[in-house]
Amino acid sequence: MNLELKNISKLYGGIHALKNASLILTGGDVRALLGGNGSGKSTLIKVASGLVKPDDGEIFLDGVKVAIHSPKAAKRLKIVATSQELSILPNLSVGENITLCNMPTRGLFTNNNKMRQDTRRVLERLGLGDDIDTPVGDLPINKMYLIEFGKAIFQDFDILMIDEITSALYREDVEIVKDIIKQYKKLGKIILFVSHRMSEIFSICDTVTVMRSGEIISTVALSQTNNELLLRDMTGKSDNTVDSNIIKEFQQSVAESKKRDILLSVKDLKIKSYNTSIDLDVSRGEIVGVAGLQGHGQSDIVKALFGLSDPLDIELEGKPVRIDNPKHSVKQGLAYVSGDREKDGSFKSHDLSENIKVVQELVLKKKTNALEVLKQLSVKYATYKQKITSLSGGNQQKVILGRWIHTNPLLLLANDPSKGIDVKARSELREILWELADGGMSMIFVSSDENELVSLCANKKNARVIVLYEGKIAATLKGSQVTRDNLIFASLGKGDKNE
Amino acid sequence: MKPIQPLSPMRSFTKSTSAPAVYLFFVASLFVAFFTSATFDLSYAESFMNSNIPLICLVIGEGLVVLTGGIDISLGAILSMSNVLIVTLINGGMPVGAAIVVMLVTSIVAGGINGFMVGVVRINPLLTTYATSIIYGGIALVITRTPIFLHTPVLSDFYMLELLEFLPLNLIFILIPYAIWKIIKRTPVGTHLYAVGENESSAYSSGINVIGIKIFVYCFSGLTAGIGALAITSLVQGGNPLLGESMSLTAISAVVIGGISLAGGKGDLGGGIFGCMFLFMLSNIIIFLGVNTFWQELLKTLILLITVVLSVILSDKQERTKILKGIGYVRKPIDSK
Repeated sequence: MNLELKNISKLYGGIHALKNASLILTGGDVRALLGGNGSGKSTLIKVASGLVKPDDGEIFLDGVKVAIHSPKAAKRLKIVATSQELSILPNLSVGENITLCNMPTRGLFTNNNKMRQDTRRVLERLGLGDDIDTPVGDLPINKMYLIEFGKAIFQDFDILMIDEITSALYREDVEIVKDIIKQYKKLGKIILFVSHRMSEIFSICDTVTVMRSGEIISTVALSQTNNELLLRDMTGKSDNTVDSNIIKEFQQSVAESKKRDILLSVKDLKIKSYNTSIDLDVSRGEIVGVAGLQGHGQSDIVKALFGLSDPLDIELEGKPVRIDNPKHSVKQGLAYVSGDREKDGSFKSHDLSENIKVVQELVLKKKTNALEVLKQLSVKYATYKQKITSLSGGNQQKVILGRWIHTNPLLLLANDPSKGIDVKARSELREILWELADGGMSMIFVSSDENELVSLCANKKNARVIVLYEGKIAATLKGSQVTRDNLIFASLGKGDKNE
Repeated sequence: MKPIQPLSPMRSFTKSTSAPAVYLFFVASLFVAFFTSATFDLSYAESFMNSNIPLICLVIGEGLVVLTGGIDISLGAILSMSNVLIVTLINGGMPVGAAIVVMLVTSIVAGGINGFMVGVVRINPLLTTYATSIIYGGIALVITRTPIFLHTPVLSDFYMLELLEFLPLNLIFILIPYAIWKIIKRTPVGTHLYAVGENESSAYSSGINVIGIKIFVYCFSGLTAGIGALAITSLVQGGNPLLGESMSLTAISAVVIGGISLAGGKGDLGGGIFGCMFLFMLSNIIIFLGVNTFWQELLKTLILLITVVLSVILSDKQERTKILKGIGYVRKPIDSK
């Protein structure tokens, strides 16, 4: 049995999520798929499972060309995938979720007895006990991921693709998943396994394929490689020296930052998806970069600080403040710039000056001079009466940044602001941010792009980068430590003492 | 983890989303019985059901659409269209049976057009059904501008028939669509309906035929509008192109009071039926209390608003926290570990 993906390409807004990616999977071989944020792993799985239509490329199953235009079509070809975003439905019961795609029937009706028996069998394999009728939404998150896995193995599949379910699982759960994968391997099934935990990959898989920026870089047997070699393929750099003193230096830098003028101090900031919490101090004029693999809690930090989730108690300039909602936090001197301009940033049908004035005049009730802001940030525009959507992404982001810096915030919260912006605009944005930091504005800068954090924070006196892993701060990097390799290494959880 | 004991029937009722509507209905009934001049007996119950059946039909169809995360405001218009259509056909000499079939098929097609627009063309359901409601209402007006009288008494005779002198046969208009729902609910499609209502993209990636489900529910709601049209034709012994005008929105209110979440994926059609009967009781209360005509509508709407909020709070845990948070009643305490 084999599955071949041939020259698959997929463009998202001019950026290659997949670029001529070719991959051959054979039965009985457990393949790991490894790569950094945005390297195209999930997109590749989505293409093979019918969720995403590729712009170009062909798929062959046992040498026969197949078209997979929907998840249903994929299931007919016995291709099953678990999803990182979870395809389970919280209101439905465990049994209904697991059997959803092919419920056992008696005549016309759902055969509830058989459904329960089938479910019980799957739950037993997962070591999950007897919660067949509980709504899945009432279960803890690690169990939900196990159910997602159970839903996949309930089906009669030839090809199983597991997209990062183990990152939310406990160690003993991972052992269970590992045993089940081994059983399927013996049966000669094709298995593709995505994980960021190197130790898991080495213990579960036979071969590994590394991806970087939408391309397949290499495929090797795991017995013939090691952490460093794989990391080199992921980052694309040959001289790879991984800093092993990360933890020590982390403690040093914490001690250092305590000495300085603390602007913001927050204790016990909850990261919901991992049920963990984070303590964070930010000094005046400091740039705190936040790195990590997607969904490890980075954006939770800035969202919570801006009042976009539950109420939060913080200490700002030494005074205790409760952040209830964004209006409240704006009045306290916080600002929020999101990379998701469409949703959180621009007022699309309004012009430049209105987009700049909105916070200052409507929320803070102060006069503004929009033209000054446009000039200060060197936005390229024809007239301030033009719609914001007529500008390029980079200039739009400058306008939105202008909106906020005009309110003279104490702390700028940036949530992946350089997403979808070209290189030149990025470097201009960085210049602006450095200037603002020198002027005493602090900022927390979340980015999914390691290069961006390196350019912003490396070798800067007033900058540091914290790396999140599974909802905890895995490492803090400063000065010359801020390198792409160190960031990736730490975001795989390697800086964590427990690993 | 210990296995969960199945709930006893009583306990599972009080925990169900339909419970608030049932409570509301009984409270309103008691109110009518003891505090108004109405004589609360069998003939009251019969006339109550007689006039209520057409709307209950719509509520069943609307409930299913809302359950899958959609909305249908064209049901009233489909009812009007089917109503004048069947009267015109029968008056024109078509056999009653054939006229009924033609009318029901027309209703299903009208619903199917909604389903096609929402499922395949992917136009927002509110927009789609608003547009089609104007079209279907327009067709009704083309068929006849003025109310018309049905020349044969067959339908209304059937409507007033009673089994064993007390059980009205017209209940069959509700029982048929409700039985269809009960059957669907026990098939895999029933679970798929809830899945699509709760999260369309999760349902899609699970391999569910989302488009098929959508077309199906709109066809079903079209059918219930047709059955409702048959009931109302029998009831009023005639056709009127404006008959169903306000019924869509009343049906939606009944559905919400019945504990079916407008966000989709939660609730049961039984609740919607009780929600509908509660609304009727409410009108009765206001009429029997002798409230000034000018105040009637205002008072009714005010009570409606309160009951909608109340029933959402009672039936939906998530919505409850959202609403209570919104009015500042609950503030999540921040515990420090």
